[in-house]
Amino acid sequence: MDARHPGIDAHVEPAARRGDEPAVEALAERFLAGDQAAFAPLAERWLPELVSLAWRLTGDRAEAEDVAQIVLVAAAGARGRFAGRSRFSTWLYRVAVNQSLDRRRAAERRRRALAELGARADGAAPPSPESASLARETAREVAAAVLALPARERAVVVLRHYHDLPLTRVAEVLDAPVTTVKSRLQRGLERLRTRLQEHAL
Amino acid sequence: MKPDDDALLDCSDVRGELAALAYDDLEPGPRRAAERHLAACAACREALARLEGARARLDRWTEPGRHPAFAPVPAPRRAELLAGVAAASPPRSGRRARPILWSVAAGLLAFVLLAASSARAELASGRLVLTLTAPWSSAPAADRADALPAELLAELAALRDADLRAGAERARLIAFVEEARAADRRALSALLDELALGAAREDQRTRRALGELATLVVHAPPR
Repeated sequence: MDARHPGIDAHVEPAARRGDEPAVEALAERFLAGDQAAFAPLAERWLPELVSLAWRLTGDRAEAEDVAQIVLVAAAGARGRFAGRSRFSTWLYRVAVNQSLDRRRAAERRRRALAELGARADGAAPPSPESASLARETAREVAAAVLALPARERAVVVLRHYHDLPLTRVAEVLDAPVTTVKSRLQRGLERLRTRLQEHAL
Repeated sequence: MKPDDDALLDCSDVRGELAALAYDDLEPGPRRAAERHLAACAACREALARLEGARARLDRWTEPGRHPAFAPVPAPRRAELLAGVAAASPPRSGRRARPILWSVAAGLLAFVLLAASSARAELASGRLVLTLTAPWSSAPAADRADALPAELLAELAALRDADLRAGAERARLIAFVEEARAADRRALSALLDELALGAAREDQRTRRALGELATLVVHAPPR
């Protein structure tokens, strides 16, 4: 992955994407009403969000980019079929989650990413005194712990924590009862804590 | 459990709500009830603190710029990806633009049919019956995924970008996929997955095309 995006640090996007929901929903409405011109800005807004989601679910950057593209292409072709079914954003999240978790290829890649992260987190590289490097090692440990979660718990944790969807929205996206989503979040957090504690020792 | 404002909760009521509480996802009523219990119960407070600790640890996986794998999509790469989406999306002014994914699916399946000579799989959906056949074997796909000929798979991949010819076969296939019940779509998807697994490991393009199709067949909204 390092080689694939040389110089990525020079193009870092602001992490904050929040606050533009009303504008994005308005774009989605225009698109669903038949305004094809609304699709390009909509896709542009959603792409990083979808890549980020798929990446946290699969652990693989290339896989995540694939997933994001597939979801957007499907959305472009599926206009007119959403009406009344669910929110556009719910559909995008749902397809992205399913894409990320269902595909056998994704599962293979996740295993590989996990193995790689695990190897690094277990101290293959000696911890450097620099704080940036320590933070990187910590990030890897957390990433490995998240990727090791069972798929259903991982989906809830990632949507709730990293995408800041309230549990009611997570339930919509995953088409599951809120109580179920709640207990998955709880089990996921407990599992993460246990695993991260083991690593800290 | 739906605790209201005045209820006196015990630990078993509260434990299931702690993750929601840690993420501030409780309604004001249940939240106040849970907080009242927490004020009086050290064990539940500790349980909540553990979950909040896990929540705080998750934040460490958000270090943009520290490592390429943890950074957001860089602008140039984003432009590339969006160009890919635009290229694969239906034309702007198509009066009744057929979603690209069905064209793609139909193209691939049509090729499978052209190459066919022996029974492969049968999928039935309502009045439509589609028989997929393949030349190499009549054994279940999983048993002979390794035996898929590379040339066939290369052709499949090439078809993805080709200008598909209109024809009765293609129309029939499109109708099949659009009208298929969910179970049949899944069967079709599994078949495409198996084909993808059978592709040569180094032939990423074929694997990708088939894998995408497998997912699209399942997840596209029904007509």
